Amino acid sequence: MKTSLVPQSSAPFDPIHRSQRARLTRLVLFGLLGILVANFFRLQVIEHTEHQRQATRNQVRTVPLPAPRGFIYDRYGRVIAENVPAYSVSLLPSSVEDLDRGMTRIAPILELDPETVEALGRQYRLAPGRPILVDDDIDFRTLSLLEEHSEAVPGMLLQPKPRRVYPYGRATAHLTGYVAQIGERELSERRDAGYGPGDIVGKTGLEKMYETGLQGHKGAEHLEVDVAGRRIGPWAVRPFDRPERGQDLHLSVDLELQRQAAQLFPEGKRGAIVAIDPNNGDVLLLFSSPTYDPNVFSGRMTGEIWERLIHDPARPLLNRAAQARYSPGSVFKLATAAMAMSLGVVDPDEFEDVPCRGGYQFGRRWFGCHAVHGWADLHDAIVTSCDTYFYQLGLDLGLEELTRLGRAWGFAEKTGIDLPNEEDNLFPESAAWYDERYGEGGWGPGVVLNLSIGQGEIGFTPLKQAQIVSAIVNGGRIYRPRLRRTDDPPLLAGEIPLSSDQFEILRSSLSGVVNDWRGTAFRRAHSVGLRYTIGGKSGTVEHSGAIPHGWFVAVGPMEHPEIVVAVLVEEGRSGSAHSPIAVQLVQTYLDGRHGVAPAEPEPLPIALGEGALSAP
Amino acid sequence: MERARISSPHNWYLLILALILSAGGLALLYSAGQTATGENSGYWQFQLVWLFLAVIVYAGLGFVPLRLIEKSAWAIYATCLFLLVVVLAFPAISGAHSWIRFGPLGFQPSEFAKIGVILVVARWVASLEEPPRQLSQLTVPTLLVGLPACLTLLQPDLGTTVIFVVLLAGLCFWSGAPGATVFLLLSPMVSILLTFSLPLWSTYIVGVGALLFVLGASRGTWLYVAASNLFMGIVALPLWNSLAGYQKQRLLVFLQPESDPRGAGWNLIQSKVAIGSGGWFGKGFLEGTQKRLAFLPERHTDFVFSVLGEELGFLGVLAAFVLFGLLLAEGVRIAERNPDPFASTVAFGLVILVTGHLVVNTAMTAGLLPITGLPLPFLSKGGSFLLVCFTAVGLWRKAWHERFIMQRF
Repeated sequence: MKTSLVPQSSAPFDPIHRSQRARLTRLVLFGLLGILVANFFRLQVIEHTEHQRQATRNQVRTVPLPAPRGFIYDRYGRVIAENVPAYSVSLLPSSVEDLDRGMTRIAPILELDPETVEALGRQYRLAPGRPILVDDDIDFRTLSLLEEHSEAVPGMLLQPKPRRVYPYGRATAHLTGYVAQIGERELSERRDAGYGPGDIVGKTGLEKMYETGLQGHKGAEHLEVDVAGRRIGPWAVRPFDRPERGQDLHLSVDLELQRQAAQLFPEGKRGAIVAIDPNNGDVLLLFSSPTYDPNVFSGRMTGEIWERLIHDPARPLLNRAAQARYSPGSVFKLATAAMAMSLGVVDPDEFEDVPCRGGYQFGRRWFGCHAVHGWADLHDAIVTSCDTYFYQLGLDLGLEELTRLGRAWGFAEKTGIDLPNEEDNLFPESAAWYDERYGEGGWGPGVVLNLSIGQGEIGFTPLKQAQIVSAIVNGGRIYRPRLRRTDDPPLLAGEIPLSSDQFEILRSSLSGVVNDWRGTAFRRAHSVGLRYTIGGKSGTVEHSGAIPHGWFVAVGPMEHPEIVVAVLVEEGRSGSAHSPIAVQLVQTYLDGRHGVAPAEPEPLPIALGEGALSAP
Repeated sequence: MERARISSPHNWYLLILALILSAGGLALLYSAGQTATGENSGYWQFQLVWLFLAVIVYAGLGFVPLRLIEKSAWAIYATCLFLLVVVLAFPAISGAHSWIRFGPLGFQPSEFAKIGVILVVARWVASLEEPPRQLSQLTVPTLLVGLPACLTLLQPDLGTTVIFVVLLAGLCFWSGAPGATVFLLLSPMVSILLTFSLPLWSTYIVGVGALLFVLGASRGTWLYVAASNLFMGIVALPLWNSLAGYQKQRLLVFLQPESDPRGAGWNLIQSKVAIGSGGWFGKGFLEGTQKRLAFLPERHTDFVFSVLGEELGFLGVLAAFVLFGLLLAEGVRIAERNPDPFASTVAFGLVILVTGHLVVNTAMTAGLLPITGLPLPFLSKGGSFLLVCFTAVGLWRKAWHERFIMQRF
């Protein structure tokens, strides 16, 4: 058999034809491969950064790690607010179905009600990439129960989450305020400041005021997740950003005073106690009654507790020291006296025209006094709190002058304390103010009589009251009260221009109220045993209710005042009745200042589990 | 004596290229099997067994003369057709009746049908006296390819159907038919694609008419082109509606993957992300995050090339294309050198087959073509297709060795 080594040139497969077609084939083949390679070059080299970013976004879920809040200390370094370890459980589902599946597993363990489950689902749909916080305060038993189920719940995260604790919560509640999970509206407003769902923020009080400093800087855990959202482990590239604890807050407040105020305040009464250092405006005590336990907000807040707190007719969340105002009553006589002296319309050593016969006849109206005082000079009128004297002093001053000076001394202004939502104070701007309020002729000339004894259209917060009395005893300097301890010079908000002799008259009058046998608080104040020279002024305020409110402002020591305590008891019947509270607080503070060892406060039995969760 | 001397040495070059690609494929399957939990899916072991079988098939082919294969072409073709009918009776797996299964053993007859079609059309080419000029002369190969193409469409397996059409075009081209004739043959396929836009389709029909006029086509050609194009234009929409839901989605999503990023667009987007994040050098073998965390779908089969892109980067992709390029260039050279029409056509058909799979698969991973489910030669998991690939290499080798000794009979 002979094999042909010469290619056949028969028609369809002649070599020339085939070479042409093979060449064309190679062209197409390498053309296609070239296009493909070019495309992979575009994907992998030119667009690499973008795809890399997308890949990282796929792969890594960032879970914020809450920063421990800064502590809050009192003036002696005692802890007012701190953190304890607790755990939070969050879900990081990759789909709504995953979320539902996880929820059915953990809802029974955490005893979640259907509404909560619903709300969490809403939160997930709002921001699907972010972990949703299911519960931020679980104990070790629950923690281990959840860990057993972690396989069946995709994307479940158990994280340490420091819980805010106030060791003397009920004594310091209105001072510190409380922290709680950020609300949906608040979140949308503050998202730019780095807040996310489930974050803990200060809601009221100092926690809110100094939120920026206290909150610290959130850390982050970078987790690698697979396509189902299952957590694989830490992201090798950057597993962890350490959270930074917030700045500590040091207060001028004396924790011992807070504790004592909470103990001394009449059980079941509403009211407030404020103490200020008159030399610089440092707030030493701020207490409001009834109080509540701010610890319940840091823990698992149930709707029931919340309902009870906001619907309580006693309004325990209201800070009566700075957010409620009351007529200053007879305490304001100090201010009336100061105004009259500053204008020179009174000679302190002289009597007024009419002696006190248990009241004063003005036109056709009888303005009563609580006793018959006879003739009295300025000192005696303050000591005995004679209304008749001050009615006449008010008339001497006249409504125009009285309102003008009050305005000049800032009686209508807020004190400017570093607390949120301070209430305005009420003081008439001028006679025209009455026209505006009651219509022309709608009010009589008698208003000036009421005003001069601190009744009528006048309302001060206990804080304002303390601020004004502080100015009376410190030589006229109206300081802005401040809670945060600082080396900065005190902030002057205004001045009461009197001579030192005139101030001396007011000071001796204050002393007389407590130490003169005729003084309104003589017997009551001495009932507690005085260790310092203490002065004060009582006030009893008629209002719409049947039982009058009672004020007492105490000052000590009189030689060089270091503390002014203002006590207000709603429906307290009389001011002087509460002078022992104020006097004891003054003495406690002075004991602390002058080295008399204070009784070390025993820690309240706050169990860091069940106890803190009980209702207030 | 002479015959033995020439044919005895293996064409080591082809085998080595194929083995390098297959070994790379095994490594990629091992990597693709890596999961976040540290276990391996173990598919690479199955593939290793298949690779042994494939090499045995390759070696076995060495003992079979091409002439015998040419003689058995019709029998092989008929068997493939029979199996394509039988497979329709087997239960569907993920929506398609493409597997013949007996317990753990199974194969896809459509893969082998590709070889059957190449053999039978090559035999037809060998029987030609002169190159086909007229469209009517292409009737036989069209029917020969059309039958299995329709059967695979019934499975439904759109990707394989497309490969059949591409094979038909390539084989007709290699038989010596003029380009215009091949184009007219395929014109109804273009019609299908354009029918969704009436203006485009109308313009196209006018263009085809003009081409027919210039060529001075016969009446029969006019009739075929007009009838088939109109028919496709009309039938395309109902045909579209008859497609399985996932196929429609795959086709639509390709046009706009971002329209449904969580659903049908997911695969395309994730494949691009995985490849693109590989960069120049890749994340390193076994280090692909998108693969490991299962963001990359179908990573053993359709998207094995994306694993390569992610872990070995652009340089790895380039290396793979170079290997494929060398292999295919060799295939073209063999088709060019073997003077025997059957051997040459078989060699060329196999080039078209491997190229079709390579281009459609890699273009899909790069987001250039819709997801059709065609495996990547030598690299994707799947025994049937690996056998087909090594059969291709074996046939190339035969066509190379027997290039001097084959003669007409």
